[in-house]
Amino acid sequence: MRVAFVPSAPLLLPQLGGGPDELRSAVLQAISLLKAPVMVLGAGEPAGVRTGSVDATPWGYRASAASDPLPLPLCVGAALLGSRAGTLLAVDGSAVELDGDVLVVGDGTAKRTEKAPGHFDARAEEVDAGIVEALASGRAPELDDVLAAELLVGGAAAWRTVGRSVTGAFAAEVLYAGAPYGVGYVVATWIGS
Amino acid sequence: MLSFRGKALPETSLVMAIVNRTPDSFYDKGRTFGLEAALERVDQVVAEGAHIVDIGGVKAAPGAEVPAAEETERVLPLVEAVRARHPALVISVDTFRASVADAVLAAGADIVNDAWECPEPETYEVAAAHGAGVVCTHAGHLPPRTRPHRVAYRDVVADVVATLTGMAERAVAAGVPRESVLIDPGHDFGKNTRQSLLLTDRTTDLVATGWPVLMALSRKDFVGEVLDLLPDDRLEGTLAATAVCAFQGARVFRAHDVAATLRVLRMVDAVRGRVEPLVNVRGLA
Repeated sequence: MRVAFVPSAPLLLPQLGGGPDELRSAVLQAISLLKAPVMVLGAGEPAGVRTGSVDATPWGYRASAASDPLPLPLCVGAALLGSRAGTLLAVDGSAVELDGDVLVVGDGTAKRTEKAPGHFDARAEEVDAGIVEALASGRAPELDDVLAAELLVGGAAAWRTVGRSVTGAFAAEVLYAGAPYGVGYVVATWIGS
Repeated sequence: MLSFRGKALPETSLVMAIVNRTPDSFYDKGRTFGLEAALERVDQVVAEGAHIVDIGGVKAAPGAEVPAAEETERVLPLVEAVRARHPALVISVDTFRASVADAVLAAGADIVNDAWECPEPETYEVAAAHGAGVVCTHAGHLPPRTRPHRVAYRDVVADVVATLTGMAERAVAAGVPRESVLIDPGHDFGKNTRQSLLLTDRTTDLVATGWPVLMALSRKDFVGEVLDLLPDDRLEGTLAATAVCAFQGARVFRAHDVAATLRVLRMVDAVRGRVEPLVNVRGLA
């Protein structure tokens, strides 16, 4: 089993620019390791399997709006995978049954700098470092709910679901970690033995 | 799509940079009269991102007579030099004379920008023979290099639309490629300030003809009269009119101030959804 972790920033959608080159190439490298059909996990309420469309119009892209837009993390995951996307699963932190390779879409804090979406919070850097360290060692990050909410961590629920759903050991590698716009992004891959 | 002698232009709003080999034009006043100075100006506007250069050898306003041979001596060496230095650049020549047009088109120019309502009708056949494009300009039915004196129209917009669609169809009938024809309402040419403003306000009527619209607004008197300012201080007024016309769908802007005009057009095009922002981060990270 292989698992890839990517951010859920709207700017990764090709219609919204696709993101900075360094981030984008790490994301593409990570998902290239996954075998189709790839299950996509992302935070969403209510939890459960979703069908729907990749639709960038909620973020201002000019096109006809889809009647069934996916929640952001699943939209980003489905857009990145294209025809390789399999089941799209909205998760709330509970355990789920995984099948095949998995793409986990979520990001860290949004309070890394003065210009960050959530402004600066001195605690954010350490929290993001913990997330990167966990993913680098094949562990799903476990965050305090209150702290994660305060720091606008987008990936907490998806990572908790991963922690409760995967078993076995992984060879983990972090391909990208940074916060170019004040949001903690991490791209990582886990390859099961 | 706009295309001139095989050179296709992007689907965005476009800038035609003014390059005058004249000693007496109203704004630059001879700054680029010399061949070297004119070439430097071309290099500069190309570096700034101009899509077209418009080379002129006779100032528009009344003044010293410039015979055709002298006009050719001014513009032809510049066209030759620019074509050699910038093989892919769209070169326009601002002339109302068919003989000058023939000479510069033979040297590689792409567009005949006649600002005087085509006083020499064979100009279109000349352009067609070279596969070149034309600008059809409304000049209030006045002879070249004259100023409007109490020019009146029952309906200036209707007059401009009828005149320009007729000229454009005639150009195509003469053999000019349809994708190489522009229409220009000719601000200030045969018009008072209010008439030029009305044409600006009603750009959509020109756009609705289906012919791509060129607007030559740069630092003109209609801007100067609105603001009571001399040419040196007409940049903001020019850019405001530029934005108004671009918003309504005019495609090409003949301009002295290339970088500023390009920024305005990029902004308007983004507002209209014609181009994407260069940066996509705010609220999307």
